[in-house]
Amino acid sequence: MITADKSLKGFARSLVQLSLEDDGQVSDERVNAVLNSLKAKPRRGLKTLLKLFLYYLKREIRHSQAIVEYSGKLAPVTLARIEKNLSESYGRKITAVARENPSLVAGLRISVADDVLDASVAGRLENLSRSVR
Amino acid sequence: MSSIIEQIEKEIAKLDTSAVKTNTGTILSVADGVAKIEGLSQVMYNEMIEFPGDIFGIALNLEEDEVGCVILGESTHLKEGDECSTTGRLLSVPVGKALLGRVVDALGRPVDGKGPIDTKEYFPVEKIAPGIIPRQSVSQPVQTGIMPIDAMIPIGRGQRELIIGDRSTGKTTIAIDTIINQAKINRAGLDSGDPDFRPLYSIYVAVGQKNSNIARIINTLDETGSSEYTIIVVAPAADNPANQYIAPYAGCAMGEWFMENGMDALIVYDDLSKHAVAYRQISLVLKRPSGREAYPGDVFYLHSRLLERAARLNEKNGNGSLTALPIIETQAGDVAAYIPTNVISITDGQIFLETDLFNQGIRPAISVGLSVSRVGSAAQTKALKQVAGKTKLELAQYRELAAFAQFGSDLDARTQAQLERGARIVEIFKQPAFSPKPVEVQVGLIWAVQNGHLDDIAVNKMVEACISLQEFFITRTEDLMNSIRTGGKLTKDTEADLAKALEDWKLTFGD
Repeated sequence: MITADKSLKGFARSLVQLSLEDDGQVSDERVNAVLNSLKAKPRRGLKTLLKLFLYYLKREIRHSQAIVEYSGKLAPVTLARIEKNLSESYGRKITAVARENPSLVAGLRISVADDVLDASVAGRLENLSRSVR
Repeated sequence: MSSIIEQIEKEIAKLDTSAVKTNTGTILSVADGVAKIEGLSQVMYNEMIEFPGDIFGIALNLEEDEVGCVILGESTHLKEGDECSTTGRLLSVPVGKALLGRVVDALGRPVDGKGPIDTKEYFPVEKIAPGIIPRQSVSQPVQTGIMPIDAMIPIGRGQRELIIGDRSTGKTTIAIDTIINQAKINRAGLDSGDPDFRPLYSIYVAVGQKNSNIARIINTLDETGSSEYTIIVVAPAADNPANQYIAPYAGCAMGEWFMENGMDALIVYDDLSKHAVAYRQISLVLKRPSGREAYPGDVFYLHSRLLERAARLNEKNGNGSLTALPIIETQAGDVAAYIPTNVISITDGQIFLETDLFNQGIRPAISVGLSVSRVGSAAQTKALKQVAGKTKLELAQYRELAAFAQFGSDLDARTQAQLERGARIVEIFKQPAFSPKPVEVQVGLIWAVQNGHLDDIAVNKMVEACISLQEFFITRTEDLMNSIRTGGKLTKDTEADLAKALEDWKLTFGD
């Protein structure tokens, strides 16, 4: 975590809020506008502010993005259904990004920010080994 | 082989096939046994966090962007970027009678090499103390077997009595003597088959102690046969501060199990000064604001919430009790330091041990003037109260007179007699370590000195006389001792029997 005072952190967070569309998604256009306005009126601690802005922006993107790890094949219909169900459950638009991970053996593992939904064979084997340990 | 396969099949059948949801985080930094974690947005305060390699930690600082977590165990192989997850469980320890006779660490895991502990029940280490309604006043005694304590500073079941003093003044010895005496009483009581007998189980929590000291204590308890009624929780000096911080709460949870199940337990916290130091270390590493002597602001709450869990529950709530004997080590006798004053104000009295008395050979080195029991007198046995009621005052008067008598030799007969009596009382209260005295013997000895039956014995022969008289009481006057133990106040007949026994003893003593 970047060390900075509370006011700078608060300012960076409000800049992130300004970078969001009405549906809660990060908009490239709005981010550019925020960056341009910062460039036009440079202030003290700009480097730290930009670092904080980047940190909070990444966190925001993670919150609206689901990493879907899979082993084997993943049909586009399944991905779309995951996207729809997650958006409903979290109450915000979630976009799903598919990533192949053969170590899962079979099944899926979905990560949204710090939540992990594990429905993979590797995960179940891990649970089994824990319960008999 | 087939049984293993069956066991695995059972485990598979039990497994839930639906997706498992976990809340995860990533380690940002690990230093001094504390991990800063990003993520864990759903973590609870005091929740157990699971790290790779079967390592657990407790979430203690829930901040805006990160979570501060103290690691319980070896943290050297954890690194930045490692993933950890919440467990949904508050820190809990195994509880129950299966722990008696065992030595466990701060998490309740056995460290005595006697195999796993067969218990299914777990209690959270942090729990809110019983409120006002389920409690009742202290009314049953805890016999420490230490004469000056049982006579002048009596302790009751459910009381919190602080043992305070400088290093090497016999604080731990008093606690161990008490545990040994409970084991003796338990054994005799359970053997007697008395259905009303309530055994008192003991829990000894060693915080920040040297391993050699802990080993010595374990040996003493084993040798005296006390370990079968005792649970030992260890967080030695070599353990990380998180374990030292948790250990008293873990021991308390084990004691609470006895209390909540209608039984009586005694817990010794040895010692809370080192506990406060461990907590200060954790707090400073967690960057919490520091206050007086660099202790965090909640160091009072640290001890008050622990000691408030000692209680005597009423009949409706099972009639169980948890008695606490916290120990505090002072520096150069300074009882007005931060932690000692905190704990003095929380407890129901204190036993103050003095280095000077210890060095003069008065052991246990209890300072009668500074020691007090605020609630225990209600629990003192009637016979002991009858014979020892005036002892504290007499001893205090003796100390005062003795100080003045040093300056002049012309003393009137009354003062001389008072000094003689005081010197004898001091002598009969001397007691070697790990040899607690039964209550009936205590009554007999104090009655003898109070009624002048030992006035003809030279002061320097008093210790020898007491040992001989104790032996005489136990071996030759069994009926008399039984009647004192089971009866209430001393009757005229009992006093006559005591006088007769003393006459008989005098014929044997000094041969």
